[in-house]
Amino acid sequence: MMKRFLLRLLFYVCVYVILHVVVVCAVGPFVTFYRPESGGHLFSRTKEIPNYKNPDVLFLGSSHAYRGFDPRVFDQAGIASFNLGSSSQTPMQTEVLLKKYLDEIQPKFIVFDVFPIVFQLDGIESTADLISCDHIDSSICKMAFKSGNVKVINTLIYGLYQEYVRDIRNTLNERIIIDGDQYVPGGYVERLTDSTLLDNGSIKVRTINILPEQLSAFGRCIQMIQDRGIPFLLVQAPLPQRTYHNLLNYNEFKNTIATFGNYIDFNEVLQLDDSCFYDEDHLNQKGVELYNHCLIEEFIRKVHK
Amino acid sequence: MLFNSIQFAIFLPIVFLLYWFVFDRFISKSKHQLKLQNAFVVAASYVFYGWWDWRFLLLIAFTSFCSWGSGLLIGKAETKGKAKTWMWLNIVLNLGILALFKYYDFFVTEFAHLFHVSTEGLLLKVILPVGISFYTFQALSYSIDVYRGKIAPTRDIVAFFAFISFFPQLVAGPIERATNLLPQFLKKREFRYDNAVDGMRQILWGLFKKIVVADNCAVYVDQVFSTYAEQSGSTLLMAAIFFTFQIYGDFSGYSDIAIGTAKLFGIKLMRNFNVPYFSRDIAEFWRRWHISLTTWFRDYVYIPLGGSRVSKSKVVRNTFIIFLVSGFWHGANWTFIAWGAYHAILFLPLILTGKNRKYTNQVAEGRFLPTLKEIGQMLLTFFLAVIGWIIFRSATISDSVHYIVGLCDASLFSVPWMKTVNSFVLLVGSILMMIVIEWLQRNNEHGLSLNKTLARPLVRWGLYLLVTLMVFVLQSNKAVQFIYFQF
Repeated sequence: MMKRFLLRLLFYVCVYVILHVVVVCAVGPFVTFYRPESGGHLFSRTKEIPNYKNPDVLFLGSSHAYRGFDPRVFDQAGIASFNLGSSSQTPMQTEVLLKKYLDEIQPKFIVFDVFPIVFQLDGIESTADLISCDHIDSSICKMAFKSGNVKVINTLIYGLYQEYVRDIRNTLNERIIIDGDQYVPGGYVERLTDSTLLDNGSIKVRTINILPEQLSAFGRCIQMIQDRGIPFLLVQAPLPQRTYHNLLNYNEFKNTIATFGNYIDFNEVLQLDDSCFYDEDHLNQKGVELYNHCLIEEFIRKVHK
Repeated sequence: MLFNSIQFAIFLPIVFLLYWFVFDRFISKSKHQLKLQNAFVVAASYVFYGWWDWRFLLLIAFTSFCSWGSGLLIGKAETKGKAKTWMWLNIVLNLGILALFKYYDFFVTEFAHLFHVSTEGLLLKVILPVGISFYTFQALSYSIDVYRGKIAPTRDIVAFFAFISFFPQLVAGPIERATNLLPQFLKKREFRYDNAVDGMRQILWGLFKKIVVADNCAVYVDQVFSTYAEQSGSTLLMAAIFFTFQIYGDFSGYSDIAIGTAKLFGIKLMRNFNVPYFSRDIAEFWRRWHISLTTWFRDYVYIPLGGSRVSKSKVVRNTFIIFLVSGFWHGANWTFIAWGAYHAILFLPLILTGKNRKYTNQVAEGRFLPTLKEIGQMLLTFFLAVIGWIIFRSATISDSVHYIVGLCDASLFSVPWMKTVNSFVLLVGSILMMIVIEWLQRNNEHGLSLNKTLARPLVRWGLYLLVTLMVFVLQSNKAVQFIYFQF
């Protein structure tokens, strides 16, 4: 009886696995989560990497990085840059990206945006983003299985199908504008809107609970950068005043991050009002330009130092 | 370890194979075979529980040992009075531990608030051990049943520890009675093919309710409840309905997985849910919702207080006591007490007019569809339950009042907020699928216990594969902890 049970179960599992793979590949185009064009433009960004060798600055981090550092502003100051930010990028994903691309890009300087909220994320969204937008190799597979999330595994199945059966990396050209976001060569994403943060919207009060695994991954990223002798700067992009003040234990977070290296909280350097933001977290183009000019001054100061 | 986690997907087959192949088959000639198998159940259960926080294993072991010891002392007591003393000692000890971990800070804060004093240095701020309310009640039922002579005290400490810590139902029930579960650990279990297959089906159905229905509802519900002041009446109503299905999918899903898992080990657990949203009045709802807790309070609190066979004023008192205690059991928050009081108010007219046992059969018995009257009754009961769940889900009583007031607005007739139309349609579709399957299966133990003679193999396999696909494809982005773990 036991033998019959186990054999039937095994048969069911085999039939199911085949069906699962077929269904995931079939429904993939309709599931935003699985698709490369799900926002954030990481697909275009990773395709551009071979064109950006030895930049003066490499930017890392979440949407605060790819929506916060405009290479056009840096170009004007004679600084070549590339932005390797991605949606909700947590230190775990930064680590994978650095392992894959740091030696290929070989930047002269690194600016690492450390938005506190990403330190408390499980990294599911960002892992799926990496899988669907980047070349899938063993490190990405390892990260997917490590997440233990079925949706991430499904994204991996669909990603493998897209890459190795449909050869998507050579056939797909991601749209330049997706949902009001325009991709700018060099990895930046510009929000095409004039709207600013509304005064009446409520902004959540948040407590930062750093996940130990994210902090260790962050430590490994810093170690990797230091091992290659690349100077770096840790930054916190400006936030709307209300968002900033609603991060309850922000000082505690800052003290922790400052132990890893030079850290600048631009909320203390720049006092931007709500007209510089398009939502409760992100700068609009006006804010980005003010922020980037300020950063350039800091950067030049640090490099010359 | 969550039932819907990769860790459990690895843990369960390993424990299953060791349980049947090592501790049942290969050492079957040993006279200690049963003890060894029970010891393995305890070890596996402690690993399962220790995955959260191993420090609280000591607490379970302490509770188990004290309850086992009290059972022996009650059994050995020469007089009824002495037996009663041992029983009460065990009750006070167990409820004391529960009160310390779960209610102490609440009472201190409330008293401090009342008398305008500071709580500085008075709060314990301890983490609530997962499942403490469940296993404490299970331990209490043992000593009470021994005292009442319903069960003989056991000398087998390993079997008793297995009874308290059996991993499928350790953290969120069903709250088993010693009279049902303990004897199963005192005799050899048999592997039965039909039982194991049905267990797998029940696990699958539980996963569907948890992962596809509850977790996806949670995304909408969390968003709306956290910003309810800014939402339209229709959105608030939608979120309240989704929470009604979330809590059902979450908790009954957990129970199905627990009962199904136990079947794999040759253990039969009691039924915890019996299609409660098909109830025709609130009394029927309470006979079908969280059955193991409801019957626990009935047998160990309500009946000893005199139940309904006392004067009307005492019936009112008993009804309020049972619902308020039941509400408070869920957690140290006034919202749970208010939720209990709300249900007591709904229940009272039925019990006072003797109509509380009007519907003891299944709705539309012998018929495929319900009558219009039955549909009306079910919708009204469902609506009353929805209002109750708003109180239950809100952070404070004031929030729940504002939420309910927010419902009574012209915007109730506007289009509710949806993150995306596709996800909204998928969610409503999944809920409808659950309702239809449970309606068709309302006379069976769970949604997938299909009648072999009525359903062809192709239909059955097709349904199992479809449900499995939905479980593995329609997951929400984030695994949500089972709601009842916090209780």
